[in-house]
Amino acid sequence: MSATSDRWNPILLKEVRQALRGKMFAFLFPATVLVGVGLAIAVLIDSYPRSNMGPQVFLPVILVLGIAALGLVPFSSFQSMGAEWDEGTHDLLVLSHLSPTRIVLGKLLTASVESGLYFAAFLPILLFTFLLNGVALQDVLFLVGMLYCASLSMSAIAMSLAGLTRVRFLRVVLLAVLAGIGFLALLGGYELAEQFVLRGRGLGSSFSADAVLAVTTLVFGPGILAFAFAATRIAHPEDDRSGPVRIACTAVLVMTLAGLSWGVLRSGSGMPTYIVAVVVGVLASIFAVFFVTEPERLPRRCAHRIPTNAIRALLLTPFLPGGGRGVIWWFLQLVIVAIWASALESVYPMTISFRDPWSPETFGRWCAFMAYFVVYLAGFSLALAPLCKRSYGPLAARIILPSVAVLSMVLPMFLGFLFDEPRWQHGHHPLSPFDIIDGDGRSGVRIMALLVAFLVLLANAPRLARSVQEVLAASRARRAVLTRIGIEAPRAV
Amino acid sequence: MPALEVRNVTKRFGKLVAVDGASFAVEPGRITGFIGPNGAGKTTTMRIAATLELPDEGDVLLDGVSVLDDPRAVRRKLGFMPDAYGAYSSTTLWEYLDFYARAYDLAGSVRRRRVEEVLEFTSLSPLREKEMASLSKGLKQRLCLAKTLLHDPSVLILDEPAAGLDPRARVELRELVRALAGMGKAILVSSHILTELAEMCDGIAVIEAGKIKATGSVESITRGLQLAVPIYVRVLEDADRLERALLELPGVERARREGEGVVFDHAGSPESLSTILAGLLTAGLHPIEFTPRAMGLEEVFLSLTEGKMQ
Repeated sequence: MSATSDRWNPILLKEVRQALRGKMFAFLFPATVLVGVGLAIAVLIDSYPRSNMGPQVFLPVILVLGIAALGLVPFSSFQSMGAEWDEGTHDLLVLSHLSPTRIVLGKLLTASVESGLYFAAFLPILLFTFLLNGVALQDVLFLVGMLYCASLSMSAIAMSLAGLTRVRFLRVVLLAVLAGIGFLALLGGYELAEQFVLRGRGLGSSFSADAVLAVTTLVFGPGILAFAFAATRIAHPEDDRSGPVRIACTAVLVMTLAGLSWGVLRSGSGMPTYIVAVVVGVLASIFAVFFVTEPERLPRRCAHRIPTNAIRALLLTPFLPGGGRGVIWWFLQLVIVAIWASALESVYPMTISFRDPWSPETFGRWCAFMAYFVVYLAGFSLALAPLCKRSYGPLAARIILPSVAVLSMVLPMFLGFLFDEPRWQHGHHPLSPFDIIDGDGRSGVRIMALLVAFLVLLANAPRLARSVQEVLAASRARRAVLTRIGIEAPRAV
Repeated sequence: MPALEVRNVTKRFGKLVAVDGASFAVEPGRITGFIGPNGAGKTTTMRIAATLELPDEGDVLLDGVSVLDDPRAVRRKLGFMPDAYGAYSSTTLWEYLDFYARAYDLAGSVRRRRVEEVLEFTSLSPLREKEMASLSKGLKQRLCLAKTLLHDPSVLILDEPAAGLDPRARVELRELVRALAGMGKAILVSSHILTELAEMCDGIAVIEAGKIKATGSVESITRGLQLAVPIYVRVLEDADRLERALLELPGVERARREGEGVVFDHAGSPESLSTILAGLLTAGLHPIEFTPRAMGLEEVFLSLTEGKMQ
């Protein structure tokens, strides 16, 4: 194995060796398989001699497999990541030639092997249910495949949670959070399996297409984000701890939009594109809170990785750390969403359930709605930029910024109760962006919102310009260094 | 060019200045002891040199490569042995070294040969199939040193390698470190056991409250500090008479009896020492021994530091 495994991820090899010699897997694996087989036999005896025994056997067995895949395997990943801090091996790993991404990938591959062993043990039983009638083979394969992917996604989430803190007590709390997520995933997965095999809503049914879309997004989206986040947690604080997460967010956004396009075009009807676009835009804004509150300056070790080509450096700007560049990243997401909405609307106009989505009235409404987010994200992050320079600043800003947004919506409601103002009590006040969409005849408020957002953008202009200039300056500086030491000739731009 | 050069490094943690403008260098083939009281900034300086921390000011160069400009290139040249070394559970010595060899991109026969070499060098070959958990502290330290040597670094930074080791393990470690210096590696080693360092090091860097107090060989520091050197004198005559005579001579501090002779402290020039010897002869004494004693590392350390902590 040693001779043929030079290209394998070292972490995968090490952890597989550890697992094979460790007591936990050696005990849990046979115990889980025994429970699964025992349960299958018990249900089989109990259901005999029904004609369609497949679903009765399939469901409890996949539940046991689900507990292993969504509970035991992610727990193992969580422990593995936490052990790097506890056993003092983190520094040694960082000093080796392994990049943070390779380290996390190695751990994820270990989870895939561990999960694979469980699936290899359970698959014969699950396939056997097909022979018992009542369960379609493609449904079994789809559900098993999705569960396997969900197991990897949960493992990535487990690693990102374990990487959040080095304090053991807090890690216990995070372990409880992981257990909660695992439990919800298990419930959701079981419900899906039930719909597929008991209710006859398997692959090919109208339900299944939406389910596939939803499950794929829910399984892969958080998994990709968690993977990127876990990798940044291992990286040095002065390395790029933001870029991979920004890239992952954009990838998930594009993936979600692609999935939505497929869903919309397939079903032939659905929600107006505008509503979907704004929902996705709001979700992107939530992620943007983390990026716009980063310290403005480029981390020192990040500057040395910026492309020497100015155009490439410019294209990379939204994906580099820094609050100003976080705002640019957010704008980029909005542009992607807007392009998607326009393209989909032009191919497939959905005017069925919404009154004229292209009218200036509707357009103005949504622009005013997003103006609130411009104020919250770009405006407040600009005001909090000096705070974000401090070590605790970004965390404080990430608490303050959403709190301000929520308070500005909730506080007038309380005031409404105090001063007996029924409209305010129900959230119809100028500080609520949702009132802009709901309410008619709010043109004054809309114009005000747009004006304030414009002023915020004006105030942000120097910050955004600085953040771009910093990248270009770092690109120039790196080009000069590389030219000086003779690694790379300067390129004409 | 020094193999390791710490240039005016400053590191702050909030209001605490952990390292304050530290500068020193380590030459290839030499062992430099890095000494200072607890909390003086030794580990922080070493972690900066190892690319694990970033300096707020200043820089560290390894073979001329900056830890700021190219930390990856620095890591290729550097072997860092932290005070709290990492150990994996359920892993044999060979697996541990094989893993790190892979992590350093060593492949195929090169990797296997290198693992065997470091096992041989640290005399751990017979224990290759033993689990790490069953090793003594001394053996674990040796294993960690073996791991540090896997990628054949030109600079070694060893943070408290002798801490918690029994006398035999300490001697063995000292021999290993000496052998590594003999191979031309530049070694920076910190320790609380000053006698240990005194026997091992070619030079020292003394740090206190984040500031470098002195660098160089123990002798050069003693000279530079103009510390009082103890001098042992024995004469044919009575030691009491010698003590009285010495105390009357200029440049003699703190004369006291020791065995059949007298020890006095002298902080002056060689000329004033010669004057003292002449004074003894004039006083009718017949010296049969007049020996300046080498200053110990402990004396130098105590003279330089005030036990300040941060």
